[in-house]
Amino acid sequence: MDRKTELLIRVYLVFFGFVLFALLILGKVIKISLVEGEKYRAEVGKNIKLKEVEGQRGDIYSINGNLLATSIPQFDIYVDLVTPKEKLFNENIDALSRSMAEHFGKTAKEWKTELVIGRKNGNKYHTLMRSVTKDQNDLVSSFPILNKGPHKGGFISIRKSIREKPYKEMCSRTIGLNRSNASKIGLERAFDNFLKGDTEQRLMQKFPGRDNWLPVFDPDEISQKRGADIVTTLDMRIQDIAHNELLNVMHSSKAKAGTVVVMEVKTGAIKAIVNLGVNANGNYVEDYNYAVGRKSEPGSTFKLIAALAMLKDKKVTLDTEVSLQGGRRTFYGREMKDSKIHGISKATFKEVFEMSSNVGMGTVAHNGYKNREGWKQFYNTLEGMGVMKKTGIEIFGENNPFFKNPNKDTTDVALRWGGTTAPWMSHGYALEMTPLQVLNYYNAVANDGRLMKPYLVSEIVNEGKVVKRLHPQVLNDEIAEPSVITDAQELLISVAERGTARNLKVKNTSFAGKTGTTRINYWLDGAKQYNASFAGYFPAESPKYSAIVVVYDPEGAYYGAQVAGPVFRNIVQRISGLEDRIVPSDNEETALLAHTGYNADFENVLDYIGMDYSKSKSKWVDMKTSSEALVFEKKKIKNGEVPNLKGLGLRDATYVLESLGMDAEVDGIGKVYKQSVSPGRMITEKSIKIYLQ
Amino acid sequence: MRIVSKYIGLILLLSALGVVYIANSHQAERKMYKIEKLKKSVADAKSQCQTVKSEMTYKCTESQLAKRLESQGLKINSQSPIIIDSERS
Repeated sequence: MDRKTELLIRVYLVFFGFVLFALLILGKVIKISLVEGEKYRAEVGKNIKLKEVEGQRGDIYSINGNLLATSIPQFDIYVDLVTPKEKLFNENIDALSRSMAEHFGKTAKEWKTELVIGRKNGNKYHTLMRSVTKDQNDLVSSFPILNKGPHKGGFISIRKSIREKPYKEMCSRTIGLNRSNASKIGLERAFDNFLKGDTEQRLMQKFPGRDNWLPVFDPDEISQKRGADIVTTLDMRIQDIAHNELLNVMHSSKAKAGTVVVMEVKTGAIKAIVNLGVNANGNYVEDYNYAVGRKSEPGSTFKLIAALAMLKDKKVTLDTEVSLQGGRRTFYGREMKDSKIHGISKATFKEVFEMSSNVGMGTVAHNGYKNREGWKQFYNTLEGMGVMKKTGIEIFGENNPFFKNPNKDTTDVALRWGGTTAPWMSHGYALEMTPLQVLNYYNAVANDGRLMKPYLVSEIVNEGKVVKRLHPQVLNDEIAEPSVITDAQELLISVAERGTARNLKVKNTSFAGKTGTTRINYWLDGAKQYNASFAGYFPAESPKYSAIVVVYDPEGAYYGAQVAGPVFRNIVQRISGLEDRIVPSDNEETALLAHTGYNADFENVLDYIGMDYSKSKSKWVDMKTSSEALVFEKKKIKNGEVPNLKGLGLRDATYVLESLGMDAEVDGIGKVYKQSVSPGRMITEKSIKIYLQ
Repeated sequence: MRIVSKYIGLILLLSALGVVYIANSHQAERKMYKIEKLKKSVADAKSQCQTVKSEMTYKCTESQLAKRLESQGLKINSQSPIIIDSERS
């Protein structure tokens, strides 16, 4: 054999080796794809799948940017009790139980028993804890056994997203609930389309040995869109005040429920909305949106609306004499009584309103709207003012007001308009409205007759950009002519000054309003039940907010002026300082300039008002602030040198100049901001010009 | 044989490219994994911040502050403020 053949054989040997190897691979390929194909193709589905990914839900904010609702993650923690090896489990179970007991209650023994029994039963999905925060989740994952991870320690943590309301109970019913097992409520429902993120199908894959799903790379992929944020009109400072003032009264009166709504007069924006009801444990919680959803007979707070209609139809003026018959009168065999039998036989309509006389209102309505033609006029006037319509607030579930209709012929007593209907309607019975609907008319009176649509959401913001701005809407530009509105305002003011609300006066500010005490369930026997209410606006002369307070079924005192009135008064008292008054802002420079002057003068003033300051021996000073107290810095005045006059008043400036032997030419008023000769120079000329502003 | 030796350069290039391709996709996969992990931790940090913030907003409400400061003798002013109006001359 020559070397060439030998080489060739070797090469062929290697070559055939390669070919054999290639054939083997080919054979395996065929085997995998044809013989075992089914099995592996089924396997593929396990590691790649289309998953529905939902973008994060938007947040809800107050008008000042406080967070009212947001999504935060929570975790359910499970343990696979079978996975940990015998040695690991037995050596560390005590330590784990101790750690659990230390942080999450129960005794170490209880934890241990629970886990050991779970292991014995072969539980691969033992529930350890539910709904814990990220911090707690991280803590638990660091405990013995569990810190070995999912594959060795059996730690399983399922992440879920929940809605968190930082203000807890405050306006929580209005903010609403986002839940999947029942219908959403509140703003979460009304604005769900904006709040919810885009849902999209995404191809996700799982790599062997890792347990989270990752999106399969896709160049066109847009990360799933976050939902838009909602900015409400709610002001949490006002909400806080209204909530706690109502809560206090609810506690002391043991009422069944209560609601407060505070509205901005000019716009109809709702600044606060409180809805409290008693739950099974006797606590007051936001359990139902009473303000929007519960209609009931409003009682005396409706007298304003009745008065508007009667003034509009010229059935009465403020000075009309009305017969009161001592506070008791019978209409068609049905007796009407005032809250107290007062014995007064005659009063003007204004006085009737002040004392909230049912008989007086009933008499005016009875005389004004006689027989079916009259009833129709009353009905049409009320309808014309929009009283029978919903307010149209965004929240789902607003109730339609209930009114009887004189045009309808029915035998149903509950619906039929009869002789007693108008007199009873005039003091708020035989009709039903929600607190918000009643409030809207007080707001309209405060707003000089313009009826606004109450609203809760002012802006929808997406990725920092305002995508929709919701403007105030006018429902009725003029519910009655200006003279009628002025009369109505006078009525409400006189209630607060001389009438049923006279004991609620507030120092330094004024309000106008109407008390209401409504007998409820009067067709039942047993103890008398009442709803106490108060509606009004403030400050009386230039109304900024209107508000209604309704306390349902209080125990003990039940008069509107005793139960609901104080809530209203306290709200007025505490909010009136919050109005954003426009303070003329001096620009910074002039503001700073005001702090220069004669030391003794400053000391006098500061001693008088009792403020701390650090003394200076200098005659002329600049006043500066430090973190502890006011500090006086020496102002240099040297003989023969032009002084720095900046910040001095005219009197001080001329005094300084004259003491240096100079003459001042003055321009303007206020404090010196400019001088013709710059400070620090030698005095060469006697005259100097100073500019003041 | 001759074919093999003729195209040996190309074959080597292709296999080199193959190696680069595999390494690259592996690299990319690892990066994606890391990105996803970081995204998650950013989201977690954000939500943690949110939780703390929301706790703080609640504690900063007037009523909560009033409750906490009661022991120190501070309480909410029951009088509405006196507003001083002045006309600047």
